[in-house]
Amino acid sequence: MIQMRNVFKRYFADTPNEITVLNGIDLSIGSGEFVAIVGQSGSGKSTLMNIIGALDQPTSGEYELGGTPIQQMNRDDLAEIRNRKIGFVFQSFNLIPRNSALKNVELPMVYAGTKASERSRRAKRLLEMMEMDERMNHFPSELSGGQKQRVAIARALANDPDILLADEPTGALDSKTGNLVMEIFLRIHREERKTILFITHSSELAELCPRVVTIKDGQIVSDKAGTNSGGRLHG
Amino acid sequence: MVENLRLSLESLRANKMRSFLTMLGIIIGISSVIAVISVGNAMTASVNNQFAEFGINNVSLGVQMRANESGGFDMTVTKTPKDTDRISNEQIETMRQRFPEIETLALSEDAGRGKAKIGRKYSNVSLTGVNTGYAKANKVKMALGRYISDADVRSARSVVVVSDRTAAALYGSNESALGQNISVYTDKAIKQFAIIGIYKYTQSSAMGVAASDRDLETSGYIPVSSAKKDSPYKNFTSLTVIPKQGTELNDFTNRISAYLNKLYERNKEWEAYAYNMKSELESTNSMMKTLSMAIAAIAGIALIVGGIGVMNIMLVSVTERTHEIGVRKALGAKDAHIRMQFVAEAVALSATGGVIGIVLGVGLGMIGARIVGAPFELSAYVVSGTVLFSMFIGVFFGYYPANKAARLNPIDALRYE
Repeated sequence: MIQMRNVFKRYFADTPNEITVLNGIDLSIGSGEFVAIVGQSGSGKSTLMNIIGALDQPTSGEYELGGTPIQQMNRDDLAEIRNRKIGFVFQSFNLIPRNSALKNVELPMVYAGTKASERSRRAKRLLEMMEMDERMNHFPSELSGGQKQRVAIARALANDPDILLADEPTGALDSKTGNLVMEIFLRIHREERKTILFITHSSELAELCPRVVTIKDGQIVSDKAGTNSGGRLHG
Repeated sequence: MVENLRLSLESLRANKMRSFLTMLGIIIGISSVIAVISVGNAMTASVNNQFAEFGINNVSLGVQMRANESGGFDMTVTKTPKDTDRISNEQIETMRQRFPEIETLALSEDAGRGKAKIGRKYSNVSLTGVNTGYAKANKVKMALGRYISDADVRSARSVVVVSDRTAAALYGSNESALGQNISVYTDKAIKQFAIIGIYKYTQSSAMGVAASDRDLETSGYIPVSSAKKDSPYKNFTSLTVIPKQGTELNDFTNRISAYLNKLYERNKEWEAYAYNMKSELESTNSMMKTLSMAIAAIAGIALIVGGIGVMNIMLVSVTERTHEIGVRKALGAKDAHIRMQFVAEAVALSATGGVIGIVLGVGLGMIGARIVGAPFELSAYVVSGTVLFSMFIGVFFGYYPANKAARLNPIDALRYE
């Protein structure tokens, strides 16, 4: 599903202020894998996720998504990839504040050109799945953190993407709510067989994932199975 | 599209004060353009109506003082033309034969003003000697009986056609007035006339308003030959002709002017004139059109200023919502989606302003039309034109900010706080 070979990301390239954020990443993730990407802040894990999510382009190296090389794509093609193949879940939820929960979930389908009736039918079903159907007409400001993240996950699933990219999805939540959100990701992985990339700095959550990739200073320092994968969350 | 419209209306609602202030520029621009154009149209209509009262196809002929060498007139002396300087009945007849396109020829002669009295009842009458053609040239409408006929003129009969106002004042009704004999007391004499007809009095705006209804002075038409009996002059200083339908009016006026001036070739003091209202009307109309266009152009500048306001606020809005744009792009919005969203918002802003501006402009136009005393007419052409123009302003001034938003790099926009 994801093939990265020798990927570099540099800022202010060829100047004295050059910063290397990704320093030769080789990464291969198969379809249906659940991978945690762990690293301290500044390690380059967010930049890696932005490149995987087609939000950003590598300075050099090769990146193929589902067999398609990403480097040569134009802006509209990249938008299409983000729209159809990838579902983003952010730490700060990033719901559109003036739109109701339902409209937020419909948004990726609006950009995909889905018919209005089909849009609202599917958005309602996804919110039901997240147990948020009773609050679908609420605005983000009327929802708690955990509820917002559940709406955001429903939105990420709107166009039935191959990959879910979650950037610290539990970072803004207390540990109990965070565990609930983690349960949702595990359930989606179990039931929908989606490829999930889960960025976190919590080693406890990372150990629940079948595969844990650790990044330090822009390089992969370890790539192994989670010690508690398939286990239950406590607390 | 529907989605964009919903989004832009929501965004307008979210920033009510800001949207209103931005729209104000458009509102002022649109309303002043509409007000100026509709008041201009009302004034033109009012002038046209006044000209129509005089008779737009009438050609006025007459005798006037000859201009001196420097092109001016000697203002220190007022002269009255001698009878030999006037246009005679014979000359009029010859002219009528020379110009077969003359359909109607109207003569009039002032025969003094006075009071028609019966007992204690009275009515102010201004006696005017006329021929049959006068009724047509001056649009006299009969209510009862008949107008002055050619036979009345030939025999110089003592008959009169009075207004329905006079009939009502003296006899109570048109029916009881018809056939009665009345006496008119002028400052020189008492004249006796038989009433042969009653015409409908219409208040002419050119005449102004009488002091009171009771003292209203209306015309009493008598045969021109009867009027001439008491006049020291047998000939005329002015007359009106109406050419047949289809005659080229200006050409006809020039030819008849040339013909009459031949008769005055050797007259050192007097010359003939001929003019029609049509050319004056045309030049007045074109002048008014130019004037209202000029004012509308100035009002149009207000519209452009309003458009710059729209652009300014859209740039602010794009900056404020940079993060939101980043989120939308992460969810798969293409550049065109973002561009459309912001253009739609700018169009919604300016079109809403445009509609309010039209309502306000129509209101102002109605007040303005009332002030100039003309009927208000709303032209669909002007309304649809201004709506389209305000939408065009939205597209024109909204495109740059919208494009700026669309070209944002997704990751930079998403990181923007």
